[in-house]
Amino acid sequence: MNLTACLVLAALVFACGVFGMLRNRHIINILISIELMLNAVMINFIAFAHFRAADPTAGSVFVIFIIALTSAEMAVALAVVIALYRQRHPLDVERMKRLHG
Amino acid sequence: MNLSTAILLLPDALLLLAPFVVLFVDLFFNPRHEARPVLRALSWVLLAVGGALAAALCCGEREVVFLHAYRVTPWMLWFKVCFTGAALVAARMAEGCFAVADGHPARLTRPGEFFTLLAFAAGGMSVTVSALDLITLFIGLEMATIPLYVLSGFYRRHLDSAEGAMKFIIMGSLATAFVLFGYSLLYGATGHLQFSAIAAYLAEHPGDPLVRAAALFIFTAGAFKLALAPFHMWAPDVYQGAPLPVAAFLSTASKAAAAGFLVVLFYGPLAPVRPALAPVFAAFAAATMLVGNLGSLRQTNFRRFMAYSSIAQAGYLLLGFLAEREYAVGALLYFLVVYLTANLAVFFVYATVRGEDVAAVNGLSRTNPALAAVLMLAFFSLAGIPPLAGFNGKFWLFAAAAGAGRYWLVLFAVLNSVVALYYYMNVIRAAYIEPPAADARPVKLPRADALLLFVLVALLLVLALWPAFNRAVFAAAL
Repeated sequence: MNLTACLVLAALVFACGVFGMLRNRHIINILISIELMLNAVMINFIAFAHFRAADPTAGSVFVIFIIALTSAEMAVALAVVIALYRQRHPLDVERMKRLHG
Repeated sequence: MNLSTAILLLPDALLLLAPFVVLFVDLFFNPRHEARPVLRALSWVLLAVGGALAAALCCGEREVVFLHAYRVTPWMLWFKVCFTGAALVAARMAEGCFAVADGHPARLTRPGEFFTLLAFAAGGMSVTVSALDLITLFIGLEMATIPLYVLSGFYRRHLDSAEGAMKFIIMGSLATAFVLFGYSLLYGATGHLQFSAIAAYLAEHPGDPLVRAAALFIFTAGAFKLALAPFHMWAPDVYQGAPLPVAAFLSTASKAAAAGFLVVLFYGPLAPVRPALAPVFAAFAAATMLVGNLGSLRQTNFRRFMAYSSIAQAGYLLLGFLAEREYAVGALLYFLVVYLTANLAVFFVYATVRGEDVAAVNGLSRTNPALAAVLMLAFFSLAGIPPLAGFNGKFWLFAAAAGAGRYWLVLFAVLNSVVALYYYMNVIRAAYIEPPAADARPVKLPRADALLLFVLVALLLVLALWPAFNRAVFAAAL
């Protein structure tokens, strides 16, 4: 394991997330893609903290903050998904066309 | 720490206390969950924040640093003035939505939660502009955004609202992922999260490609938050779905927070990279002005109309980032204060007439001449007609861009202002010339609302004609 391998892995995971985001139509899949992108960010932080950074603690702590805050974000996202689902709204972004123009 | 430095921290302390005060009041002094007691609690706390801000601006020190992670300086205080004022006016607008009869489409319920989230968002924005390391910046930005996701979907039983909120969350989370990727690259390149350490590294290695990539990622996220073209698509849908006071807050305080986020980074630790990104800023500014103005032309729904209008205004705003710090920050602040005032006045008029469509103000000069006059002055200011402060706001921004040598872009912005003049004038024409709807009754304005509107309009006139304000803002930005 070296820094380059970790960064390449993170870049690949991030690219998978972006691709999944563009390709998927179901909201849950899109949220999973966003989680993939966030995981790539965390790999980046840990890799930089382990191999290179002058201040390794800061990077590790940042990862914990990312986990906490993005789960709050996802909790709100899932609440809205449930609100949509209860009203029989399709969970398909291609069919979210009530608002447009 | 003595009194004159501690006073700079007082507004933030009060603002972060506000949501807890609202929750407390709702829990113990509001058995029937009415809007009035919580609104009163929030308004008093926000007015206290305003007082603290005024005290900090006139007798505080130039700077206070708290635990190496939090910093307050005069220009940050001006941003906090924007957030507090917008929260105060949006809360006042929301009161009308809680008061309407059951079954009305604009009816809001659960005032305790609503005002708590509003206060949390304002507090988060205030943390964002004061951050002194990347962790604080990230926490502030998330704390400002997550409550806004909930607020924009606050009509739980309206599909439009839920759909708008979903789009907002997807776009917002994407922006979060981008900004975090940018932070991770910045951390990798510099090895630190502290702004001072990052700035020290960049002073030695100004051309580091990893830092440039990081700056590009961070700017993209800022573009999402500020709704710059081509990342503006979410804004009209979210505004249309959201309750009117939330749309007002999004188009004012949230824009100011996004601008503040970019100012904190691009005139802070990332300042050495900014000249390299100037062509990107210029391209985004031109595209955003064009898309916003052309989009506004064909809107009939009021909130969509204002969404495109505020996209166009964000395009003008971005011109400021082309200039050096001493011109840019003052011009941006002046523009933001004036833009917020005018936009809030327009939203307030529509909140009073309870209109979904732009045409809801048809014949307003006959049903309520004072409101029609407010609408006219606010739109004149947004369009940038000289005696009003909107003109000075645009003038400083255009002057900043011209000072950076971007004459063609300034010309383009001026042409865009002409297009904007057309659609703003169109609404004023409808308010003064079109006949009112057949079932229109005289619009009554509660005394507190009338006072608030008077203050907003007076600000539009006074800020333009009172040189001390110009001087104060530009001096604060140095």
